[in-house]
Amino acid sequence: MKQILGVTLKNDPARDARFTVVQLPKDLHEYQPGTEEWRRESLHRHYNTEVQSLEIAAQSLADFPDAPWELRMQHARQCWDEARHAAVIQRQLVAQGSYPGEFPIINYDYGVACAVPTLGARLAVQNRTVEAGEMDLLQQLREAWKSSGDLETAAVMDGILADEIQHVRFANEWIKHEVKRNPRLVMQIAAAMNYIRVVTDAFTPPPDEQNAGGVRMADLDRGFELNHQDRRLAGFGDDDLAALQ
Amino acid sequence: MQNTTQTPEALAIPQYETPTIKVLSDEEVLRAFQMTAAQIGAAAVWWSASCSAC
Repeated sequence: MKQILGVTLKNDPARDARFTVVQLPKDLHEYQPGTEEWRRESLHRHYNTEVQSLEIAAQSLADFPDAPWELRMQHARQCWDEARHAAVIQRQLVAQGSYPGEFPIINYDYGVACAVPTLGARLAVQNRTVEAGEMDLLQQLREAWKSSGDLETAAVMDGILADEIQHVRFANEWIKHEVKRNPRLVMQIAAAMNYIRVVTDAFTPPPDEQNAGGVRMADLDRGFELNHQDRRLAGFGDDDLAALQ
Repeated sequence: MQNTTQTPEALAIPQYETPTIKVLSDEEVLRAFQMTAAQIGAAAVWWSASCSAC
């Protein structure tokens, strides 16, 4: 485990020599949406996110060998999905004139998810929360790439979104079934969600801090809208969505 | 014995609502412990900025 900004995270997964791995938001590059740099860095960041999603699912297979077989199969299928996502995002990254390693990366998702010690809570953090959030973002990315005229990248976002629905759904179904059998899981999930809030607060940049790309991070719009339609398909009920508003 | 709840000091204390306990179901607890993409995104390390204006 490692200590960053006063919180405990899992140590970084391995990366090859092409990549510069950083630990703090200010050491990343991030640009105003719609710019040339944003197109390249956004896909570069997305590429590492897909690799981390693969690593988190694979780590869960390794960490929880006694999990029910069907759940392990879901994780194995997710590994296959995330590997394909990384491959197609890398293709789009190269098409934009970029390459793996052009920008610094941070393995935040892996550090957070794999610090959660129980299977149910990790599913709540990674699949029910982070990947569900990705469904919100992917909906916007799909429309943004479409409106910019890049229909191929828009189609890639749409395809990834379809897979994410299943990743969120299997976690929601398993969690809702398991808490009936093991009520202690509810408290494990509550503790894990509190952990994410603490980590998020620790990593939220001060208002005037600039990143390594020279952009004031507070100026970047993070107002992602809820993707109601796909969240419903992924097992969120109307009451769940209302609570998220 | 003096009724302490009728003293001037006691009468000056605001009338607080009687405490109650609500037992949440498992689904209500799960619902209470959710986060949106916008909340997670505040950390500035997760995905990229929103691009609704692209």
